[in-house]
Order: sequence, then structure tokens, then C-alpha cells
Amino acid sequence: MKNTFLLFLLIAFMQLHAQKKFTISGSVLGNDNGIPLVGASIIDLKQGAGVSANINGKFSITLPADTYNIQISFIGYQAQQYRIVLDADTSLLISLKPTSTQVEEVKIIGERKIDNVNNTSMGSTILKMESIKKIPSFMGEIDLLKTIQLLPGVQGSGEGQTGYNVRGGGIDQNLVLLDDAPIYNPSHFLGFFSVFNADAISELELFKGGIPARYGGRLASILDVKMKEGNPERFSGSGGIGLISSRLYLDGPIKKGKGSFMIAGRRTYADAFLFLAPEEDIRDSKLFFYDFNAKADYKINEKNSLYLSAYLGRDVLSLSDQILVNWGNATTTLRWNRIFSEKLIGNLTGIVSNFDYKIGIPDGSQEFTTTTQILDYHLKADFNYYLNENHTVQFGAGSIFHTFRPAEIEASPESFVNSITFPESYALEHHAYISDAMDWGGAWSIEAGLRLSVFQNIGSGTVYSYDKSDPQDYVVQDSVTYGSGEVYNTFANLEPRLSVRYLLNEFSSVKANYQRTAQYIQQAVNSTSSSPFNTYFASSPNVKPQLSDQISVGYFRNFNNNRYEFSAEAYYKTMQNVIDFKDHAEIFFNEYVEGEVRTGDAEAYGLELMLQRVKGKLNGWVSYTLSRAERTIPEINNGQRFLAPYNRTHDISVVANYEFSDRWQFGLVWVYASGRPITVPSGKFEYRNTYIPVYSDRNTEQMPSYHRLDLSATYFLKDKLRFNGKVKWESSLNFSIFNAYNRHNAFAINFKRREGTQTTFAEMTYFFGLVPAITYNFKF
Amino acid sequence: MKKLKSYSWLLLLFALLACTKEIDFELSDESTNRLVVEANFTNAARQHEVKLTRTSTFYEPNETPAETGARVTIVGNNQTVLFDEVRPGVYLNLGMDSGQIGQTYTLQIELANGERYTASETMMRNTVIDSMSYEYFSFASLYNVNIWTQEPAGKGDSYLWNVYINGNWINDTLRYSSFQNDDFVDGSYVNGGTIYQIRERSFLDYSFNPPLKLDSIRVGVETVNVSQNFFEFVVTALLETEFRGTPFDGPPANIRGNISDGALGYFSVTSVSNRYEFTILTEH
Repeated sequence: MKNTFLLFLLIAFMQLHAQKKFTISGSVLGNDNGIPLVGASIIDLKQGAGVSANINGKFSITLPADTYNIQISFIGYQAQQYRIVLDADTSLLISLKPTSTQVEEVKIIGERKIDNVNNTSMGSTILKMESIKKIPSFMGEIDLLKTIQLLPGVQGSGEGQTGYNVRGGGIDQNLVLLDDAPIYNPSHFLGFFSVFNADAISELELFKGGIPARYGGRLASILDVKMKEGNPERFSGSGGIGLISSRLYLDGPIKKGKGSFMIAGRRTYADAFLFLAPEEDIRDSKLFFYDFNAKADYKINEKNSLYLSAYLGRDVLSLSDQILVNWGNATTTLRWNRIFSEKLIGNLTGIVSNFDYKIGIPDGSQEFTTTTQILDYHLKADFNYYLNENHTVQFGAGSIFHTFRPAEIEASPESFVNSITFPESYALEHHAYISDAMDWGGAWSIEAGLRLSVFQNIGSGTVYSYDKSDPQDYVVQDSVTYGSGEVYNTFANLEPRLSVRYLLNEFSSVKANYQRTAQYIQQAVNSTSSSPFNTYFASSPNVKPQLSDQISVGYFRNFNNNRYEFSAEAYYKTMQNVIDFKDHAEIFFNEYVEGEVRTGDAEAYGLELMLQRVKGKLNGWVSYTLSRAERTIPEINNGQRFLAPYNRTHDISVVANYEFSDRWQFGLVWVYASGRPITVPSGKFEYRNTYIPVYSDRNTEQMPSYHRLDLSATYFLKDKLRFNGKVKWESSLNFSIFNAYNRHNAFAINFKRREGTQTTFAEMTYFFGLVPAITYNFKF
Repeated sequence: MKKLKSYSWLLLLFALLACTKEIDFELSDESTNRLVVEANFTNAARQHEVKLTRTSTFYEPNETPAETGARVTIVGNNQTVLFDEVRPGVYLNLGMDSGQIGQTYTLQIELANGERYTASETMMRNTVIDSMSYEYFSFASLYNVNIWTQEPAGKGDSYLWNVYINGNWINDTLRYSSFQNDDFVDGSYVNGGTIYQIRERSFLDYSFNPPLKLDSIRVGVETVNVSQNFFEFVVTALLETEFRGTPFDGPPANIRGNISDGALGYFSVTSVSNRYEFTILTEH
């Protein structure tokens, strides 16, 4: 009887307690354009408890009944405070006013000032497009893939290249997502420009460590790029005319209060001047690329919204009628967002992503076209569950159906080139995850996640077996063919992710992270830089998935009233089954590309320091990375450990932006990196009047170090067109200088014979010297 | 790499953007010292040559050292082909022997110090040139030299073409090599396949052929059927010497020859077609 009584008391107490907690939920929008303010912070000023607005600008926080002072803030917007007597669940629609241009917008990194210290996560950075636009750009083309190379732990793969290496990972180990759709080749031209049109992008988040459980599929990094949402209040637009391309962006409401749209296009016009060429054959040539982005959102009702986004881009290159090369990505993402309750928000997303490249001779007796393609269909569901103020749970699952076409050669009957189709292969990639961001109160917070990834090779497909007696040359021995729909090989991996934060005081914290990642989609690349011909193949009985374990620790401190942010992160990472290739591997148009693969282990470690000034007229950052990356592949370099080709011991970036006046803004970038390792001759031999180098060990010498200064100045034109007192047309001129002191940075070093003599010499290949550019930008 | 030509236009574009300059680059390890063999045996009755040299340090400004005093023979098909050293390191088959298609021949070398080296290859089947043509491309000032020939059915045929201009064999230097295999044309009747480009001037720096400015050019072409191994050797040697410094580069690597015991170079056994001759009347 006593126990029953006690139990009743307990239940009553719990009831009492529960009844005294209520949820504040709502959304945060910018009142200038009605766009959700992703990551806006909602803080209870009394207790310090807080949450961030999610991707839709929505938030939810549960607090005991009381009176609160809630502050909602977001960079570039005026913070607002609400006094709330919380005696019932409360819903808020908050719209923040933008701050005037001179004051707060100068902040470069978009994170809330204390997030650096308070966040559980580490190894990740959010960059807003507005801040990327302030960084000097190459030929006036604002390029987010080059901007991330200025962050510690991220290194460019070569002069002017958009390819990058993250924390000792290969350029094949980065996943690039555009509104959840993978971009299988994020570069244009020969890798000198990226596919992201600055006008169409709102922000990006780069994870080089601490990858949340909802992401997976690549070993080294995830780059999550979000397209802009249209202005739901009124029609507006912007654009630019540059040296190599022009851009136009338009957005507006679909139905006021219901939705918005955005479309953006960019096209280069290097070939527009070809008509000046004296020769007809040159006039008929083509050399351009274009990008087209579109996004629409539509609010069906209070609980349901739809988001549709699409990207299409292509490079076209032809010289006379002699050869035609083109390549590009096409993606579509449809997302259904549903608010089940104030605590549970779900997204169901369908994604199609395609990358292909074609090479051909348009006509004549040698006519042919080859097509290489990767095509994904992806369906996934993701949920956010705000359990209470101490727990935010994320969970979800999804599947991808991959199609790989290694090469299909089509030729007309008149052509003497044979039509050949290398067998396609298919795979299913499934994932399920759960993670919990736990605030333990006081100084501790933890984010623990677990991701299950499953990869299945599915028929129809052919698996070759190789005679590996000659480690340099695997010979196809036999093949097994599987019927359509037959699952003939399955890999599964559990990928734990764990982040811990301990607040030392209000201004500083220490963090630690462990992550395991698995990669099933492999890229056939054996050069250090990005090429237009990104060729992918699946893990299979012959190629095991790549696995990586990384531990990292960090110290985060803010100074001088949060004017400065400092971070120090150290990482150690091991990788298994990393992909390398035999000497002189044939990675294009090869049915047996698996036979060219040699796998082994890799190890990488480093220290990343970053000091940012986030407030004031002068802002920017200085970062330094000390790192090492090594590989051991049994069949390469006689099985001896060697430096990864992208190893760079020291890497320094200086990024500065100075708001001189209302009219003038200046930007500066200076980068320094140790030269990457190269293999050099230990002698030469002569064959057919040719001196051929003899090499000994791989990557034992170093290229000269890389350094470069870029400058920019932006002038905001005085005459703003006004209509009804509102500004209708604003414009600016951007001047930039790439490589201001005209340094010749080596892209490669070759050892050659001076023609017609017995003498030999070392020669370096380099790209751009000083490149000035001017761009006219406008907004209406 | 067999598809080098597919990339050549992209390489042209690349060449437009790239610049080169000579630099000082010190090499610390110059320890390589190995025998180098350049030897060929064909189905034609001609003075076949075996050239024996040694590797040298990369920056050595003089010719690579000759290997003198060696005993060189080729055996196979119950034949023994004898070689005499006519100049230091150059051994000639003065008896003008010839081999037979389908037979395997072994090169045997015994150096003065007693070291022995061998290499073997089998002679590939032959093809016949039916006809040839040329066409002029004014924008690049070049003549495409085209071939009419039956590519025999069955994969594994690889070709080099010996090109003679006004009687001189011009592609005895690797960079002027002309090569193709049957990966994409197996069994086809090749009606005008481009096998060589004769240039009147350098075009965008990627001039593999010596520019020629003549009123008329007498062109001779022989099809040489080579083993897949030798084809790989030639193409990888070109990759290491001519195609370095592009975004498509794999890491530098040693090219693989077929000589035993760590010697470098290649002993190729090839079949050579009839020589087809024609005259180009130049258009400038």
C-alpha cells in the first residue's frame, strides 16, 4: 500500500513537472526577402540555452514554464528580443531586419560568433556566398571551390585548379553535394573553374572531420552546397558581365506567401571572338561552358512544403570539324518537407544526378562518339526530432541506384571505327543513421551518431578474375556474368561518429572527435589534378571499399569581445584500401579498369591553426596547416611507403577584406604551400634517338614552393536608380588581379632533351602569370 | 594511352594556356648504371642493327657510353643471325638475314665482362597497304596522311608506321612515331585512317613532326606490325618524354622493356609491309 502511494505521488509529480514545460517553435525569416535564415540562433538570455534554426529556418525549443527573454539573431540582421510568458506552447513567426551595410555585414564567416566555441562539431566550416564574393577571384569568376582551398586542412590540387585534397585525402575522396545531389565533376574547362554559379548559391558547409551521421559515401570530406531560394516578397534580379562570362539571376514569388522561384544562368564566351579568326576551320570551333540553376519552393499548407531544384551545366569544345568533346552534370532534387509536430520535422527527398562525357569525331570515315556516364537515382528520408532542450535526434534512411557506363562507342556504318559497348554495371547503396546531439548541461555536450552503409553490386553485370602473378600487369583470366537484378556482392559497414565538447569558460572550449567513413564509389584518377573526364567505378569483388578512421582534437577560443576567433585542430587518420593505379595505367575507355587498380593503406596527420577577425572594417583570417600524408601500396614503389603526391608540409593562407568607404572595398589573398613531392630521374637511357628517364624511388624530391598574391577592389557606383524612393538598380565594378607579383608557380617539372643536342635539362610547366580582370555587377 | 590521339585536341588547348621555362633542378641520386639494348629483327632482308649502350647520369652532356666488345646473336627458326661490331656499341647483321612470321627469335648478348642477357619475341602477322591519300588543313598548315588497308579480324594487332620523307626515315626518333592498335577498329576495312601528319609549321607548340616547307614531298610509308608489348613500350616511352606536364599525367614510372637481368631497352621482332610511295604537291 505504501508503495502504491509513493508511486502515485511520483506519477503526480511527473505530471506536474511535465505540465510545466512548453515548446516555443517557429520560423525565422529575413524581412528583406523572406528567405529562411538557416542557422539563426534562438537563445534564452537567462539560462543561456539555445537552438539554431534548421534548413527551413524553423526551430523548436522546450523550456519549463516561466518568463523568458528570448533573443533571435543572425549575422547581417538586427538581433531581436522577445519577452515571453511561457504558459502554453508558443509559435512565433520572426522576421529580422537586415543591418545597414556598413555595420555587421562585414563578417566573413557566417557562423554565430560564439558557435565556434559552443558548437559540438569541429572540422567543419560554413561559408556564406556573400563572404566568398568578397575574396579576389580568378578572371573575375567567383569560385567557391577555390575559396575552400583557403581553409586550413584543404589544399588545392594545382595552379588554378578546382580539385582539392582534404586532410591527406585524395581528390577522389570528396563528395560534393548541390541541394543533396552529388556533383560527379564539379569543374569546368580543364579544372580552372567550378560549376557553381555564385549568383545561384546561398551557402556551403565543408566537413573535413566530425562528419555528421547523415552524411556518408566519401572518405575525406563532404561539401554541402545549397542553392538560393527565391525572394517570396517581390521580383528581383542580379547579374554580371565579366571578361569570360556573363550571368543573370532572377527570382520572385510564385504566389505571394505560398512560394518562390529562382533561375540563374551563366555562359562563357571565349569563342564569341572566334569569328574574327582568318581561317574558316577556326571560326567553326567551339569553346564554352554554361550553367543553369533553378529552384522553386511551394508551401502547400502550414505543415507541408515542396522544394524543387535543378542544375544543368556543360562544357563544349570542338576544333573545326575535327573533334568534338563535351561533358557536364545534370541534377534534379525534389524535397517534401513536412512538419509532423512542433518536435518532429521530416524531409522526403528524391534525387537524380547524371554526369557524362563524350568524345568524338563528327564525320568522315573515322566518325565515332564515345560516351562515359554515371547516373544515380536516390531516395531518402531524414527526420529531426527535438526530444527536449537537451536532445536533438536526427535519423533517416535512403537508397541510391547507381548506373556506371564505362564507355560506349557509337560509329556509323560508314565509319571504320567499330561500335563497341563495354558492359554497364549497377549497384545499390543503402544507408540508415541515427544521431543524438546531447547537451549535458554545464560544460559538456556530445553528439553521437551511427551510420550503417550497405553496398550491393547488382546484375546484370560481369565480374572478371585476374591472374596477378605479374604485379605490374594483371591479366584477365575468367569472367562470370550475372543476370538482371541479381545481387552478386554485398559490403556492409558500421560508421560510428562521435563528437564531444567541453567548455573551459565562456570564451574557450576543447573538443574531440572520432569518425569512421566508408567509400564505395571509386574514381579512376591517377593524376594530381582535376580532368574533365571523371570516370567512376563501383567497389566490387575486385575492389574493396575504402575505409577511414580519423581522430581529431581541437582548442577553440574567442578574444577581445569575440572580435577574434582562434582554433587549433590536430588530426590523425588511417585509411584502408585506398585506390592507386599501376604504372602507366589505362584508366579511360578500359573495360578492365579494375585490373589497373592497386590498393593499399594510407596514413595522414596534421595540425591546423586559424585566427579570424570577424568584426570591424578589416576582417579575414590567417591559417596555417602542418601536415603529412603517406601511402603504402604493395605493388607500387616496391611496397615501400611513399609520400602521397599531394603531400604539402606547410600551407599558409591569408585572407583579408577591408571596407574602406561606402564606395570602396578591398580584398587580398596570399597563399603559400610547400612544393608537392615528385619523382625524378636517377639516370637516363637512349632508345631511338630519345633520352628516356630512369626513375628510382617514388616522390622523393620536392617541387619549388607555391605562393601567390591576389588583390581585388570593388567600387560601388554612385548612381542608384530610385523609384518611389526605393532603390531599383545598384551596380558595382570589381577589379581583380590574380597572381599580383607574377610568380611562375610550377605545375609540373619535366626532364627533357634539348632537341638536336646531347644535352638535357629540367623544365617546369606553369600556368597563369599576372591575370587582371574586371567585372560589372548589378542588382535590381 | 593507346587513345593518346583522343586527348590531343585537349592537349592543344592545354598547350595554349601553359608556359614552360627551364629551371635548375639538382638530382641527388644518380646511381643507375645498366645495359641498354636497342635491337630489331624483321621479315625483310636488311642489315638489322643491335645497339648496346649504358645508362648515364641524367645531366651528362655527352653521348651515352657505348658497350663494346660484346658477342651478339639472334637465334630462332633453326637460324643463327650473327652480328659484327662496326662502330663502338653498334652491331650489324652484315649477312642481311630475315625472319619468318609466326616464328620466335631470341637475342643473346654476352658482354666482355661475361654478363649474359637475353630477350625473345614472336613475329606478328603482316598487313598490306592498299592505297594512301592526303588532305590539307590550312588552319594548322598540315597534311593528314591517310591509309587504306584491311585490318585483320582478331584483336591484338598493333602498328607502327615507318614514314620516309624524300627517302629519309624521319620517325627513327620516338617523338615522330606514328602508332595505333586495333582496339577500336578490329576487323574493319580502314578507308582513310590518318596515320601521320606532316606539318609546314609548328602549331600551338605540340608539333610532333618536324615542320617541313617544301614544294613537293615524296612520302613513303611502311606498316610495321609489332607485338602488343613493344607497342606499350613505345607509347609509354612517349608518355614519359613527350606528354609530361599535362593535367592527365599519371605519376612518372619506368617503362618496361623485354631484356632479361635488369637491362633496359627492347628487342623487337616485327613484320614490315611493302613500302607505299606517293607525292604531295604542297599548297602554299
